[in-house]
Amino acid sequence: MVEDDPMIAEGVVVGLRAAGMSVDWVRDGLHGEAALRDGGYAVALLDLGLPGADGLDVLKFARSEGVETPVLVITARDGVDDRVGGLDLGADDYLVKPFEMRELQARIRALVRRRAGRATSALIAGASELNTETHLFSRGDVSEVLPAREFALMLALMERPGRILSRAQIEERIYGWGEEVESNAVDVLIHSIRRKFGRDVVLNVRGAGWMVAKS
Amino acid sequence: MTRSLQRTALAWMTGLLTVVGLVTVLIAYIYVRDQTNEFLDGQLRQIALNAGDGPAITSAAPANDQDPEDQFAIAKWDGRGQLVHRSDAGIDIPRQIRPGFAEVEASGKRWRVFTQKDGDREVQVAQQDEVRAEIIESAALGVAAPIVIVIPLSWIVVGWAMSRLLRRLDELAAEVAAHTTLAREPIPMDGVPSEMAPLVLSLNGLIERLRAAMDAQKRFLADAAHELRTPLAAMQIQVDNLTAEQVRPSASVASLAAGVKRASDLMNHLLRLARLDEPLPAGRERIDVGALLLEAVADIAPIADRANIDVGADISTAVIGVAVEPDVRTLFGVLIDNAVRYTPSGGSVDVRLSCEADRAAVEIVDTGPGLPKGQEERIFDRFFRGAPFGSEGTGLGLAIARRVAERNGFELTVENRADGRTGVRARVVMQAAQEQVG
Repeated sequence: MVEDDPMIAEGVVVGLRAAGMSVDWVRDGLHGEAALRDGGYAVALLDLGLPGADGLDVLKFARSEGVETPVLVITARDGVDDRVGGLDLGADDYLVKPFEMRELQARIRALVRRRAGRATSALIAGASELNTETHLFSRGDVSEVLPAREFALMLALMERPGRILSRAQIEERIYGWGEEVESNAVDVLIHSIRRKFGRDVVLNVRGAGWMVAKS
Repeated sequence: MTRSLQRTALAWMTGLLTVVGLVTVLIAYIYVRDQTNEFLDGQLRQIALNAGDGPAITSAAPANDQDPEDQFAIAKWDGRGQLVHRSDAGIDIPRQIRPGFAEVEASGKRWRVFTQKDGDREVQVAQQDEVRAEIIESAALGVAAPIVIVIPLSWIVVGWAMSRLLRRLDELAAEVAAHTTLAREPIPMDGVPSEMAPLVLSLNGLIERLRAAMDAQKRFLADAAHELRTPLAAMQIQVDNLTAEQVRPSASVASLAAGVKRASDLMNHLLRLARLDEPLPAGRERIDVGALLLEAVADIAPIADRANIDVGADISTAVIGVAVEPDVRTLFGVLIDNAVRYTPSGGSVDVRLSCEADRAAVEIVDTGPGLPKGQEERIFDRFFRGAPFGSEGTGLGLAIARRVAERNGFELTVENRADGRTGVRARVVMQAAQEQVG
């Protein structure tokens, strides 16, 4: 973690260690560049407003040196331009202060997973996780391999968490060409999923469709 | 108390012309009177000296255009005092004892009389004073006439010239009025009357200073909100750590977390409000209103689900509007968030998009308690909260919504439901084009 503010840094260190991660903390851009170059980190947390060198400069330097460590930018700047600028320079994700610890932990885990090459096989939305290879769906303590149509439904929803899919859009995904669509098929599938994993695994917006929550 | 320049100028002009007119008339009167009296007295004397024994004037053919009062009244006496001639029998001017000029009253008129006495002959020539008065008055009035004409003429000419000048002034006023607090350009100086230039210049100076002050205020607000991010972030992290450490979450940590969340929300809203005062981005884009609305609904769906509020969306028409996209996201977000926030558990929120001709309407209806009676006007005020009970809103949501509506040219109404049920109906109307689906 490259962060100049001790109030934030100490809190993050405590929070991440409690979640089972080990954290090294440096306070300025130069040390940040050195740490990134030395490597050995799963994820780098980078504050943008740093003394010595600006966070974006650190990022630019690291990428130019061929450092491939995933970088999660943490900043108090939330201007759209800053956001785009950071992602253009090779940041992997972006979190605006103030943020919740859970959110930070989730983003770090997602980055680590993505780097480990599991990103293609695991879809995550909040407490739900769907493995696209094994069709294993987990939510909280419950894990179960989904039957084909339920998997197709959850795949459609979890590809874009936070987005509402209409009945027609879901039907398109769970039925192949020429297959006859049963009128209440979607309702039956949703009912089955909810019975297994809890009512709030899939949210309904009356008249519009269904979605899974982002976080 | 304001005074009309035009009326003041006209009043002074009229006053001046009246005084000039009166003085001219007076001078003309005195001058003409002296001259006329001198001339006519001379005539009286000449006639008296040369009067012969003529016929009575009544027996002569009257001149066409001669007024009867213009006639001289001449009487002659011989040495014995016997009347030998009288020009008009009807006029009897008493015989004067002393020679020379005299003022006499006779036959109900005033006369100027000249008496010539020399031994055996006495001639008395008289002329009505009225004749003199007429000559003098008409001469004086003749002098006054042009001025009497000039007064109304000056009203027309000065009025016209002034109104031309004042119209430019009206245009200036319109330009100043059109200057919102967002305008950054000075008032153009072209065509400004040179006498007005200092006023416009100082107005421009004022605009410049105002702009600087506004900028400073906005910068301060943005900086302050920005600076708050770091301590708020630290607090949020500590609260999260505290929560994670506890086996069973305690009520005081929960309310601490709620406090931090509220401070963060407030800071975000302040920043957003500050940004909305910046000038509109140059390129406004075509936006898919339905898609943005559906995204706003999706954003609130998890919160509504936790609060056990049924959210419905009727977005069957595809509508394309022209607006600033982040603004529209903010507007929909604020309105839907408000609806869910004020709706009790078990209630419902309905979002509807409709389009008629070139107007699209977004309606968000909830089953909350509605707007407090008598305070409907105040809901858009900053930091005003509609709900008396522990609402966790920032009090800035509708202020932000109104600002967005203003700068994008939307119509925004937030009012109690008119269908007999309690709740609020928020409605946004915007210029839009309907697009056929499929």
